Amino acid sequence: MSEQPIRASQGRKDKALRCPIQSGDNAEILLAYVDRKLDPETAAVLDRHVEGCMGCRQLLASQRMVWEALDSWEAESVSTDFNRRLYRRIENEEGRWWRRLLEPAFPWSMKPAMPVAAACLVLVAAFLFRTPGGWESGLAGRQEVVDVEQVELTLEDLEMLRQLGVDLDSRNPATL
Amino acid sequence: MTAVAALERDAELMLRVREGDEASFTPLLDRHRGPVIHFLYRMVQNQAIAEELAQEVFWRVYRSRATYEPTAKFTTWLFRIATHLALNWIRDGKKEKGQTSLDEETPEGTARQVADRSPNAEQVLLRQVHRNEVRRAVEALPEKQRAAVLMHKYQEMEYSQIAAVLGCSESAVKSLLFRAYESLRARLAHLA
Repeated sequence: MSEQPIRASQGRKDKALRCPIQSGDNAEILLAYVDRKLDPETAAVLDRHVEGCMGCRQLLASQRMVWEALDSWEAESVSTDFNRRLYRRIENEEGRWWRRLLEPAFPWSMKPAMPVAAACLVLVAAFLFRTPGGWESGLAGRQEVVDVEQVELTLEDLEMLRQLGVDLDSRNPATL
Repeated sequence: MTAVAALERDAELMLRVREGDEASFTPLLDRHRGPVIHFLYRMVQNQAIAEELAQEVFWRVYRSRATYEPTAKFTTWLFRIATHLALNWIRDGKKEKGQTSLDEETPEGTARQVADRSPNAEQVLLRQVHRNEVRRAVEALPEKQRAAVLMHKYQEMEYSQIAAVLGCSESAVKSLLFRAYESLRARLAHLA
């Protein structure tokens, strides 16, 4: 890395620039230099700087190597039926009856409303379960079943007393 | 066609689609299908998943036609959707399910073939090894750095456009790129 000043032409002709590595401009200037996107004047200035700056020379060489390595990574070819698949999806999605009905009224996406709708549903369910006619009415029904069983047991007890010869009619019911 | 004319043409076509001219969607799709799929392929490193995500990208573009406003570059909007879907896919860990390696064999039992113009078998092998190393080095980058490098290198986007896609400042993009290329230089140094 040398202290040799360089001058750039991108609106900074009158300003002396330090080595790109030292000044922290390497990401922008050196990348543009490797990619041949620097204007000729700045590129020429940088050329002269690089000749005398070992740090910049090494950085440029390794960046060039990365650039070439990335160039070697070719993308795969696209499926020939890509458009057809997309158009079929569009046709399917656009053809849905509920979308046709809702979209003129609600052109925006319904997705953000889903959590709100779910929260409302939970609140309504909670409200219903807490009302006397809701969850508690189920418990009340269960209680009635228990009472009927008790009545049946009492009747069986009375029948047993009758069989034992106890005069139930002359006795005060409260004493039984 | 110059870059500016192409940008205007994209917006014009999308506005036509908004007005109900569905045929105008085809030239838009034809122009951007390749770059979007290639970007997604390099992001998720699986061609089938990349095409599936690209289907979703273009479906979303078509679905949003009614509300489209040419306030930003069409490609910025397109790549914002693509990046969002790719990052979500990576973060959801779906990668584990669909990942195919270049080293794996195809269902037909033959080694996966990658197009190569070199006639020399040794060079073919060497290129394949290099390509796999590059692929792994890119895959090892943090997601945002990976997206920034791919947009910068392969889509030749400017810092401002990458910043708009990623929803960050230009200086943040420069920092992302600086760190990403630094990692790549270290990881690929042995290829020199």
